[in-house]
Amino acid sequence: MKRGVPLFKMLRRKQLTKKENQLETTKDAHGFPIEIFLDVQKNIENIQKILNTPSDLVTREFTVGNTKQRCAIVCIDGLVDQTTINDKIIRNIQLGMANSGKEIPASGEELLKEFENHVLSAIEVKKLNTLDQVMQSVLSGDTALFVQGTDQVLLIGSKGWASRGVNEPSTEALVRGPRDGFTENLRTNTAHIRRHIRDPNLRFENFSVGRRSKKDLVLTYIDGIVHPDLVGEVKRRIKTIDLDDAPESGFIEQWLEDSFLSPFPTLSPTERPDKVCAALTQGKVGLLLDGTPFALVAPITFGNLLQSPEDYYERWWVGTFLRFLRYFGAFLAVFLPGLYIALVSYHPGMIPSKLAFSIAAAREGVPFPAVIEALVMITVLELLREAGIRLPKPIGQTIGIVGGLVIGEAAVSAGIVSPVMVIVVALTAISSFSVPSYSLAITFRILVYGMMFLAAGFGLFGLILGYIMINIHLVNLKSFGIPYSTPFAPSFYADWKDLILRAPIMMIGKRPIMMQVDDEKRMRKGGKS
Amino acid sequence: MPKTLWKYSLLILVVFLGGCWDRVEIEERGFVVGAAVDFPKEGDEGNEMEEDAANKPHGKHRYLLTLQLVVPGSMSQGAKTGGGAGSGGDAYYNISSVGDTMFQTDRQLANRVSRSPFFPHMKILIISEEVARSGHLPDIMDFFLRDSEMRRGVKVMISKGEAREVLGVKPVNEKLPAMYIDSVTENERSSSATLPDPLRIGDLNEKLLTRESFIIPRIKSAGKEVKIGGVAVFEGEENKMVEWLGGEEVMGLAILKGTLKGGAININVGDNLVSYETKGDIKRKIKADISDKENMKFIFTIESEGIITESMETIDYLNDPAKWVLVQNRVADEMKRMAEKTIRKLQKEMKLDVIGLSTYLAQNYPELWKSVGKDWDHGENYFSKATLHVKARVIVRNPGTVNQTEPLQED
Repeated sequence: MKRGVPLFKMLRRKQLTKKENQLETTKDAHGFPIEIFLDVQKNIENIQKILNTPSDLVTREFTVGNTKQRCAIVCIDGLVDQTTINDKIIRNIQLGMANSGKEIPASGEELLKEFENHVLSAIEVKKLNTLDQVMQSVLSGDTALFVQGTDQVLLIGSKGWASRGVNEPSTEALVRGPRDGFTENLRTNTAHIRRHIRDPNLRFENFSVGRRSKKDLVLTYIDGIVHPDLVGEVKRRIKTIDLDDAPESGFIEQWLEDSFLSPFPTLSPTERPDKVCAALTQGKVGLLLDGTPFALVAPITFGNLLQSPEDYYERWWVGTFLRFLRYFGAFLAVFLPGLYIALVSYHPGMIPSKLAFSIAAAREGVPFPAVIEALVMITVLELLREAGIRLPKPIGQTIGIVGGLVIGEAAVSAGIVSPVMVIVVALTAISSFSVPSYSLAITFRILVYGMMFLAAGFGLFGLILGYIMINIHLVNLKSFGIPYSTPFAPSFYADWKDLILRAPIMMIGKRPIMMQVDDEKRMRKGGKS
Repeated sequence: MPKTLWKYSLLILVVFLGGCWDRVEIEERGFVVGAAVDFPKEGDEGNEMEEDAANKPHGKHRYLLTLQLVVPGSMSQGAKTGGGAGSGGDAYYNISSVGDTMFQTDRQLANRVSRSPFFPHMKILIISEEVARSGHLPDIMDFFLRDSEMRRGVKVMISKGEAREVLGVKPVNEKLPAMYIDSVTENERSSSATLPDPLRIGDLNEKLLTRESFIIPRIKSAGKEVKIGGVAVFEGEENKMVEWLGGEEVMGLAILKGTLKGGAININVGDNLVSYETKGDIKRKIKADISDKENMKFIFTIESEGIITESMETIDYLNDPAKWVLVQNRVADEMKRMAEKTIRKLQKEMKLDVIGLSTYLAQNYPELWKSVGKDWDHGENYFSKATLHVKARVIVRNPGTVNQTEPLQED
């Protein structure tokens, strides 16, 4: 990676050459024994000691059937489904074995095998023999079954904690399209993807991130479509992750992204399963983190961020129209305030005469130059947006009206800002909301300031400079090796069918060339080019 | 690292030191919408504070420059914001000064207004007949063409009488006289006939650079309104105004040039009038016989298609093809009459070719043009010796939305 500018070099993150951080044992550090004893009682005491007897730890000792054979189950209250434990474990061991009339094996080893093969009616049962793994499983919601006289432990899948139902994604609402969104539950999320893509080549690869939190991170892709190097690179980057906790996929995004100095996102977060699935079929990869409804899609290009699933769900005329509208909106969102400043302060000759006179009339008596006026108004708008998120829902409505209408109106009639400025700011806000990707919209909100300063200093010349600078940055930026500005530059004209234009789906017969997929045809017929 | 920081702070300084040098807020500009040039009269004074030194350069003439500036605060009734200066009053003011050059006068004016004049929104430039006839038109135009703030879309007009009076009209429906005049020239309905095509300053520049004779529209002020009609004919050698052409002659000229786009043509049918209007451009063809330099022959074939716009005479157009043809022929005759009237005036009185025959010859007979070009409408004046014929053909495409308004009189 070449970087000519020393400032960037200076700030550049040190190359990640850290050793692989994998499950390190923490227990021996605290001086607890990590072996599994033959005695049930001893095992339970050990676990209680390691966890410091937390209030949500449930241990239960009981005997098998009518015999004196002792066993115990250990689980975390709240993480497990209690009916599973009652019906499928305890009832079966105590009642089932007593009533079956079978002889109960005397040795612990035999008994454990009997449990695994005949008694437990749970679907997910595995045998472990290290305390380390047992603890890990118990802490993520499984139930451990210890049997007297053996150092083998049975782990029964009993995850069942309270989780939010599947709701419509609130940040990416559509008029038409599936209403289900990801939830905080990883399994639900993978299920969403499976339900959309029933391809046996769909892959879910598990990683554990967070030194402390040990969260599940699932890398998903479709084998046979995706370019193997991409998967390799993503895996390499995932392995460099060295955090103690990743509360949200934003942490993963920031760790994996190509350039942390760029204001542009190079991974796209989404709450929509259909969006992830569409990306997978294009040869991209998805990342699902347990505990957050936001999945990540990589790699992405600038064009991807201005696409919405609805472009495809509606007919292609509509899709194309919406795309055009969005590109226009994106332009306004970045350049409109700058354009206003440049035209008003430097080039009034470029405004149509009558408009120029009415802008001049509107600005009559405004004490600030257009820059200050614009800066004040844009900042007020940003404040309102920020406050709007923070405020409780019922008040949020009010603040919209108070902020938008009352303050705006008052500022105009007090002569602090001109009415034209209010229109400009409102248009900018609306335009930035038309950008489907929230992370890109935020980027635009930052860039607006840069453009305003450039316009204030150099007029249209400055604005054009800014435009060129943004473009230089965009063509330099890469997302997992894919240039951010593809397919504009480098130009893949075949991909332009699905860029600003959204060609009829029969005509988009091939997967994007830029993804260099293994299987490039997406339909048998139709794809003529 | 300190070195790098130093470099970047220098970069940032560039923005703060280099920027903003020509920033003038929109409300601090004095928008000039119109300008007028006259010769000064008694009592018009320029910069009295200046003592004239003996060796100070002087021009051939002193000019009175009048600028019309906008008062934006009074422009819109709706947006009364803050302390809109001068709200309620006129939306413009005219300000005049006398000077040797346009630029000097402009800068003198800037000393007297709070907002410096800003020209890109200038719509019209009016030059008085007196100045036009003096032959100083190119001298005046230089500033309006050369200055970087000037736009080539400014419309130029010659005023009958004082030019600054034209800028002083008080139009009823528009706030700015200049905008009002600008709109009148754009008025499609009338622009066709007696109103000549507006002449933009860029085109005028072209004409000044050639030896071709040309025309500039005429404007007259009358209290609350202006009247634009007729043209001033300029002779191409010295760019001096020679004579006016009146309304009907302008229409004749438009027929000859093939630029007629509408306008009423009245004809007599029976003892009543029928009115006809051309729709779309008329077609014009020129056929030339140049065998004799001294007596060239030109035949103008004009074809016009249009509709009956008014028929005071009751005619059953749909069932009386003979009458239809009669109307067509009468209109053709009328067009021919107007064209010939214009030819007579141009050829015999003014001896100036503004029909565009010179361009036609230069383009189609370049060899001939080399020998006659210099004496086309000067000196030998081959133009006035030539014979010009007009043939007109008219097709009435439809008689309007009704056939008759009253029953036919039974004979």
